[in-house]
Amino acid sequence: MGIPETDLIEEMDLSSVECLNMATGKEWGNAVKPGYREDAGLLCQSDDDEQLIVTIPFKQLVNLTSLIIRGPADGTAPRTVKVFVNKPNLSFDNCGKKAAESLVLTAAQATGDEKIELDFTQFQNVRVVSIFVDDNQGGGDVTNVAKIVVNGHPVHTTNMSELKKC
Amino acid sequence: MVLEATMLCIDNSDHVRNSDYLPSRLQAEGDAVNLLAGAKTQSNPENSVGVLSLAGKVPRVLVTPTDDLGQVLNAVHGISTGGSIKLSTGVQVAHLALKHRQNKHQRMRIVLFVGSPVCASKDELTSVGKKLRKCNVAVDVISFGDIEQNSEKLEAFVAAVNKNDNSNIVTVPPGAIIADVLLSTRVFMADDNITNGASSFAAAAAAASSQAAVRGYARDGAIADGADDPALMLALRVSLEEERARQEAQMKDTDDASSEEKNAAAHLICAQDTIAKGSGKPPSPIVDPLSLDEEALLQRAFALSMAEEHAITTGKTGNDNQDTMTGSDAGLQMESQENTISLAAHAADFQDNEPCIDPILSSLPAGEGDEEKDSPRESRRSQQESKHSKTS
Repeated sequence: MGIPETDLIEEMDLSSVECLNMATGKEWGNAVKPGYREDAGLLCQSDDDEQLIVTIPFKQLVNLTSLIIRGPADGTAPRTVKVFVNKPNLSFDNCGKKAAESLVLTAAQATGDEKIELDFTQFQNVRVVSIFVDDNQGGGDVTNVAKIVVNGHPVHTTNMSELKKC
Repeated sequence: MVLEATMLCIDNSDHVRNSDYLPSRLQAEGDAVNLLAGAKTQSNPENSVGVLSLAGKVPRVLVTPTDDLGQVLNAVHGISTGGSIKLSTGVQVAHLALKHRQNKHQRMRIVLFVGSPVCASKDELTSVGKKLRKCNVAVDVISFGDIEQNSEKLEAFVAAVNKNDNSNIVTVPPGAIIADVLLSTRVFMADDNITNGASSFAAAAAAASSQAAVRGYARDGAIADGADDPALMLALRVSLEEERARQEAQMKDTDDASSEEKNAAAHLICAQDTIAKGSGKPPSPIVDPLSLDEEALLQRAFALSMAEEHAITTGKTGNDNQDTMTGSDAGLQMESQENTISLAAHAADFQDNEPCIDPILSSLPAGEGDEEKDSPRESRRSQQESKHSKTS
């Protein structure tokens, strides 16, 4: 692709991000919001068991190219991750379906800032991306995510939030 | 001001035909649902409320979450009874309806009315509860009817779903009015502090006005008699609430070590008991002249409106002697009669607790109260008899 990929944090609709099964006080913002996500001490933690769903809507259509998912090195970093596209109502009972991309992260990928390339053809015109963490590196009951970065580029449509009244 | 979508799950099984909660379990819970829906939609303009019936062939969503109170009232009004409740299925259907809410900013809440034996096993309920907890759904359970039989299962269910203390269970003993018991519980006040006087005042005011609206709605705007005066209802309710709050505060002072741990329902029941027995001490040993003035004014207003009430009812029966009486007229009259009696009951409560009301009441025309209470009924009976004789 000719267009270089960028961090899509600007395109995320952060007020509508939804996270299921997160623990109180250790919320999705710690992993997604700029500033917080760079701090390895601030985590998004699972509550009841090791599963976690983070649903991120975008302000306009985007094409995704790669992901960075980082967790702490104590075995609570995510291992099996499924990425769903345009499923705004994803929850734990309908995440068994075929995902746009199923990943099994290696320890190096899950604890470092290594980019995970996505199948480009599956991630065209994305309005909502949902990241479902199925289990973690250590197999324990708690999953921690320190950082989620979504890379790609916006499909250049009219960005309604930039429209001004004349 | 919590932004949330609520599914109200109504128990419409055969068990709710029982009339141990007046007028019947179904209607009592219907009233509570109307009130709750009103309070929820008033607490935040973006809140939405849906209705689901738990029994029948299968649990059915009657109204998907909406901010239109009319739809909710309509659905509750047209509900039919039959079958037995399927709690775990119903809860999951409610979750599905909530999951597809329009506004993703809304938090999800399910309010369950359970007035019949729960067939599902404790394990089943616990696993459903855990699923809901994982999906950030809060659940309030209002248990009435088969309280003892259900308590273990329902408590296990609420414990499984509870996260940050967002789920509650309220038990309503037989004979109590479900809506009234709910008023001062956390089901109504969301996450506000119950003992906070200002918030309970606001909630009571909202509830009173919505109840008045509901009554008006049900009767097609036939608000003619003084008992339906929403301002009077509000004044009564607010003063009852204040009294209750004061007693609670007093109880807390006397044994603050233990009472802090008690839940709201226990407090409420205690407060009601003391009111019912009339053995409660005068509310506050230190008499605040300001509050006394207010109280005295309220009593006077109350006494005055009682007098008006009598005048109205007697006047009405006088008129009706000349008119031919239709069936709907009779229904209306019955209802106004009931209202008068319930007002009188409130008055009795006041009299027990407030020594200052005695001189006011005694200043009324002597012995009028009791006679008046009986005479309209008798005169109406004689009317009906005469009407029967006419028709036959």
